Amino acid sequence: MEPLTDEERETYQWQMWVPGFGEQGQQRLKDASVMISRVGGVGGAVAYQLAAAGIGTLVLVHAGRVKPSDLNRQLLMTHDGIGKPRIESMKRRLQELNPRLKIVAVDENVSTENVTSLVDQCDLVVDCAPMFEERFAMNAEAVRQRKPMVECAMYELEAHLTTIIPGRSACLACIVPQQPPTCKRQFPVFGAVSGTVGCMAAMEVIKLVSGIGEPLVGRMLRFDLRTMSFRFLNVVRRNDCPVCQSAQAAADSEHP
Amino acid sequence: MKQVNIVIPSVFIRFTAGKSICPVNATTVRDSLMELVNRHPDLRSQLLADDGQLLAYLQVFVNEDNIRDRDGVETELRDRDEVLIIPALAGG
Repeated sequence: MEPLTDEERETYQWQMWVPGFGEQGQQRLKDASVMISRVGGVGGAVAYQLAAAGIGTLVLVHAGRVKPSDLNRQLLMTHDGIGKPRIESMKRRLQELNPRLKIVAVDENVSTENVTSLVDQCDLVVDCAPMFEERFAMNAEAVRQRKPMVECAMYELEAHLTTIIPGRSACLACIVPQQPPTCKRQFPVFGAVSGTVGCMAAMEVIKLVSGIGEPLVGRMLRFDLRTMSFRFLNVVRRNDCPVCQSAQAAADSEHP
Repeated sequence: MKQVNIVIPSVFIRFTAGKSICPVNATTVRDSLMELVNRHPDLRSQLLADDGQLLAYLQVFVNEDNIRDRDGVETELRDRDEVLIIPALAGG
């Protein structure tokens, strides 16, 4: 553990005034490593807020090169980065904001081949991928490694957010037992919507790491900015969830 | 019969003439969904399989509870309940 420096105390002074957070909460953020799967409209907002808050390490996982159509929402990408790897733009933007931030930049998307080593590098994960295959792979590995996962997604003006604590709350496969057949890579989106849910997800990470507040465990926030309606839904573990069953069986065999 | 509101997600409002809230009279979730698709026939294939069963990848909640954790489509409704149709989201 590296203790907070005087520069960090000065930088984070205003958030250390939050009751219950203080210097201990700031130290916990500094010691934490968070993986973000795809750092686009949602994940970029998560990364930017966590970098601003003084998280110690970000493992950023996102393949591809910046396109003009990224720029309405992916706030870590810049016009002069068009055609260049996204991971370069996001590293530059984040380190302009926080040069102390340690970044593990991975120019790949999550797959069943790389997910174990990626999740292994972090304390918790934030799921912001646009494809269900990547989301389910992240979920299964996070549950297997017993690491919390903040699950956030959006479509058009709607979004959802929940925090998954393996072994305690519903995992993504409990909530979405079957993948929709018509999922598309491209979807209608305003950056203000992806940014809203991304900022909320960052707050879930800050709460989980520092121990303040009540994370959205066992509940899902579902909101529609078209009507400014916010609803909380109960999400319950399924006894027949194959992901939870598999993780439980592995835990039972390790500690019979 | 109870008066309930069905909350339509963005992805389906093109099938309900842009309405995100559809009031219906119904006793159970099944009744409410049948009333909804009778009024908006283009929605039927988005919600129901050929055999009339709710599509497996859609979640339906009554207020804050998934009907899977209650009595499924036979879950009884009360006046002013909200029936929420919740498709899975993956946009990031």
